[in-house]
Amino acid sequence: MKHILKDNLSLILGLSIPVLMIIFVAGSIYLPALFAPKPQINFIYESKENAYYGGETQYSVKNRKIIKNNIKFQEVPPRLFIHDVSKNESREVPFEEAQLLDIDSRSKSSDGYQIIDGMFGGGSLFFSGSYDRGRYLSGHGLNTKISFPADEAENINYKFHFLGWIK
Amino acid sequence: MTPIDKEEALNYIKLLAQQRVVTKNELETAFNSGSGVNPETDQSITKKLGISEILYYIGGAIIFLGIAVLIFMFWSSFSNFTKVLVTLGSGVAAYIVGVLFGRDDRTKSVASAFFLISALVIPLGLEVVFYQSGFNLSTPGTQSLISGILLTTYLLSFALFRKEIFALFSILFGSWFFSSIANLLVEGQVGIDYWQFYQYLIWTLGCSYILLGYSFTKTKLSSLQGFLYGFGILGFLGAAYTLGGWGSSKNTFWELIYPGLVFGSLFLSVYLKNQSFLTWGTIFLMLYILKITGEYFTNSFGWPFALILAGLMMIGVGQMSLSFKKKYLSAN
Repeated sequence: MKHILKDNLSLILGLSIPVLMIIFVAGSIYLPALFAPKPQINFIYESKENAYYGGETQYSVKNRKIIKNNIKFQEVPPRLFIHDVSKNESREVPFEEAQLLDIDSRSKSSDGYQIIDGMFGGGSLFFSGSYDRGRYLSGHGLNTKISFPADEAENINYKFHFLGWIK
Repeated sequence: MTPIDKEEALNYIKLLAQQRVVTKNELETAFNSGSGVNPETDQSITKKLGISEILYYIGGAIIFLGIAVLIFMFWSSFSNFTKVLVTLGSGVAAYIVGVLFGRDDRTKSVASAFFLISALVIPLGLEVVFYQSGFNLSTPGTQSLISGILLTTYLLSFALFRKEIFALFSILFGSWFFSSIANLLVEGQVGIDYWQFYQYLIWTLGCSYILLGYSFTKTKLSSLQGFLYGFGILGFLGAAYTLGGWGSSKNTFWELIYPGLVFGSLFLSVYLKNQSFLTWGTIFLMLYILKITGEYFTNSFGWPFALILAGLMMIGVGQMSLSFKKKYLSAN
């Protein structure tokens, strides 16, 4: 066995280096997921259709409550969604239900998670990837892509407006 | 038996040669017999491509070009079945023809040309099949599947037929598979610098190619050394150079170790007696000198002097490279 190893050392090393790199990359991506605490706190967000027509938003947070702003120009009324982080699902809620919620508007939740942009990724060495139009729930070394409703997923980068974490 | 002095032995052989007691061939035969070297086997191990083999490979490449042009010109008028037949079908047919030709010693060299055609066309055929089946070709998952199938096929072919062309394409498809799997792992991950990630992939492949090339020394696959060493050292030094970064995004670790890598490459050119290490080592050393000058001296009073010094160093590097080549590599 020693004799085979000695005679073929460079061949074994040459084949092992790429394998070790794959193991290292997989470990650095998937191991944190095993040890990271699961996200517990749901969040609420606004999906605004007229994002191209200025930075004003229909809804915002004041004194830990959702309020409705006076917007002069609105083509399509924006919608409010509560995202369940354990199921990774969003459900639409009316303003009357949302205004009863206690909101923490800080960017980072009390369990250490925050919402971040998607980035360029995917593809292979020979084929280009694509810009990931989406949002990620990021924290404790873990990044989970947020699953939006099918009718909202398109252009979500422009429509998504984070309001806060639900206490 | 007392050990014979080397100097004495060489002087004795010189005397015998002057007196025409022995010929060069007799000396060579005696040497080979004593050292256990079989010149016929060694010649086949270190055999270089003959002109007819080069023509076979060129012919194979032209046939592939013809198939590619046919596909490009008439693609929209082909039915789905015809598309698969023209691509995967012709690739498999070329493979079978290669196997049949390989059975006869008279047509063994021609077989390699057909294996080359199949290796170039079958990937195209698999892409067509996957596309027709509804797979998204640009995803790393699909690329991993296709490259995995090709790698398995060509590894088994090499195990069965022991031809260099199968080893070459196993390495190429293995590289494709490796990069696809790596991309599959990081797909959709945030916070990763994909440009840097690709450089690490290339650097890893470069290391792997160099080690594989070294492992093929004095084996039947030694003809692949040129390719492996050339692309290996290019990937190794090129990726390390890029990982060093520039300006505010520079990476001090890679910038500091880079001279060691380059001089290591120049040293290895002597040890391995390989031109590629010397050529790429010299080129990247010059590029490194220019980079450091541009990075650290551009905005200072010393920039013009740094440029002059860099120019002199590059002349020195070029001269050093030439003398290395004459002294250590020209015998090959």
